[in-house]
Amino acid sequence: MAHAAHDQHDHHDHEHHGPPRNFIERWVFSTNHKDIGTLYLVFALTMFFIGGSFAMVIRAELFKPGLQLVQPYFFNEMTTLHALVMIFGAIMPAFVGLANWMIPLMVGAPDMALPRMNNLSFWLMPFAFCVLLSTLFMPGGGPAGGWTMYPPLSLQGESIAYTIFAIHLMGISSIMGAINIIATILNMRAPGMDLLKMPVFVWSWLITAFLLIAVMPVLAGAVTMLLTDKYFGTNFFNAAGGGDPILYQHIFWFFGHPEVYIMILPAFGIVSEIIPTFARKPIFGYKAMVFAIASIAFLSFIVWAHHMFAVGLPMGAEIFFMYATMLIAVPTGVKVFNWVTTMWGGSLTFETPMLFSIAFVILFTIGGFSGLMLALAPADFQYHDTYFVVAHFHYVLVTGAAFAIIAAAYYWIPKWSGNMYNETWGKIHFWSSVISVNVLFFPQHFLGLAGMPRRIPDYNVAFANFNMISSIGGFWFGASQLIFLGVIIHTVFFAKKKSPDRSWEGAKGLEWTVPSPAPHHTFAVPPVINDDELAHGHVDH
Amino acid sequence: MNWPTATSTIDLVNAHTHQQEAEFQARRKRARRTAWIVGGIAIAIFLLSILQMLNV
Repeated sequence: MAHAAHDQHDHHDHEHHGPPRNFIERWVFSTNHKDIGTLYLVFALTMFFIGGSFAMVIRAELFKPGLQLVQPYFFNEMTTLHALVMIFGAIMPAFVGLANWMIPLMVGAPDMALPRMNNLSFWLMPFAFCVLLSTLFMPGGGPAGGWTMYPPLSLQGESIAYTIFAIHLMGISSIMGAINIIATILNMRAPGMDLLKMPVFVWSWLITAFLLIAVMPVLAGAVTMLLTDKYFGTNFFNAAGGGDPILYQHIFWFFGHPEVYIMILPAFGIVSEIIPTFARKPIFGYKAMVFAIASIAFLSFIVWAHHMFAVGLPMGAEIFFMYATMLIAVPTGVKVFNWVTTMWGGSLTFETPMLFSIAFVILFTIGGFSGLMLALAPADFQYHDTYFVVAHFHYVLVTGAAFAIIAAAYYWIPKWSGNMYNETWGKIHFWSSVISVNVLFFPQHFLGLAGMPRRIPDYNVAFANFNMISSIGGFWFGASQLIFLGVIIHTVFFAKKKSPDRSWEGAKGLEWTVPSPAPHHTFAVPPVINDDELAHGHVDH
Repeated sequence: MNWPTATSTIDLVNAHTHQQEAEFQARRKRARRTAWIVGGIAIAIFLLSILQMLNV
């Protein structure tokens, strides 16, 4: 009765308070969480293809030994900008877009808590990336010192000023986005939506938002000091002036390691929504999942120096950071166990979102295993700065974060657009992606173990075969994502098959009680929370 | 947590009663306060991270 009731209301609401008809008014001045979510997702997809094109340049250059296509400096620009664009332009905005769309719907709020700040958070991003990418056309070129911007290398050239300005803007955007998410989750939940009734995706974003608040200002501090070293005569990181370049690495990685979890915790939340839906079972160990996310977030603050084993840390520090890093495997193992146990005995079906989620669980775990190998301080002296590291973090970020985002897009696009995507093309996209991504990244483990350094445009002929295989996988994976683009465009604009309100038979949660496509305004009247409707079933307090 | 909920057609017709509106505005106010606190923490962390400027 309750759900039928607010469905009626939403239709009523939609008729009288639909989106503005004027294009500029709707998309530029929007304060609606769904429209801003769409803007974030479109922006992230655009940056995914721009960052992906940089990756194609990298793989084309590495197809054969010797310098083939680009000059070494341009190659370094590509590696630097590929990382910055993918991390800050694709993965993070995609998660923020999903948060914007889904968190108010999942907690029964009419919108984000601070809608105008939400608009500003988004519009800072395109401006920041225009500034960043414009450096490619500057005399002297763009940033080429790696996304970590270690001084003194990163301070060569003038583009660093633009890069730092862009990072400040991205940081402000992220912090404002995080503030909005925290304020929404803590204050705007419908009556009866207790914290331990929230979907795991909402929990994962609440914890991620606190991580963002804790570490983005630290990145801002680090790059501000870089700026003053370069232009205002300070010597924070200049050894000749009494500074310490290692200090930068400590500050950067105090941000950088939690940043890795900022890019993976929302992915955990997404997979924790999708697997129960297609297993037709509540998630196994809801509270354990929430506590595991919180534990991982806490541990992320005390492991940063595992990125710096090779700089000459004291033995005690190396041992501490080694064991602290390995400790992360415990809550992560809890999560993997719970996902598998959720599937165990379930009435499983394998639609595209489920396929990407299962691939996530398996391939992210491979990335986790190579992470454990890298956590061993003595072994890291061999692996450090090799392609083994590149293989590791791409398993975590591509088959982890990116696969989860793709899974989320397939899972929720019927709710966003009102149309069902083409399952055949979704599955073609999945199989093409999952095979090619392994062809792309798995050989890089062998290259790294054999000693091939990262961030080089040329290499010893001994590495030729695996590089050629990796490049073929890269072009294949890149082409596969064009299928994804095609599926999205087809679903949104051309698909004939309409989605019911509850797009998936086993889907539970408030977002499935509103019509498909979700009306412009939802939950103007707060919904009734019914435990049977929650994805994780009844939780004892 | 006493925000009235829509349980009948009558409620729906009279959606957004004064009480609901007042409760909604109170939530928005609490949300703004949360935002100021969290934003203040972010600024404090930024200042802490560049505090080293005083030592150089």
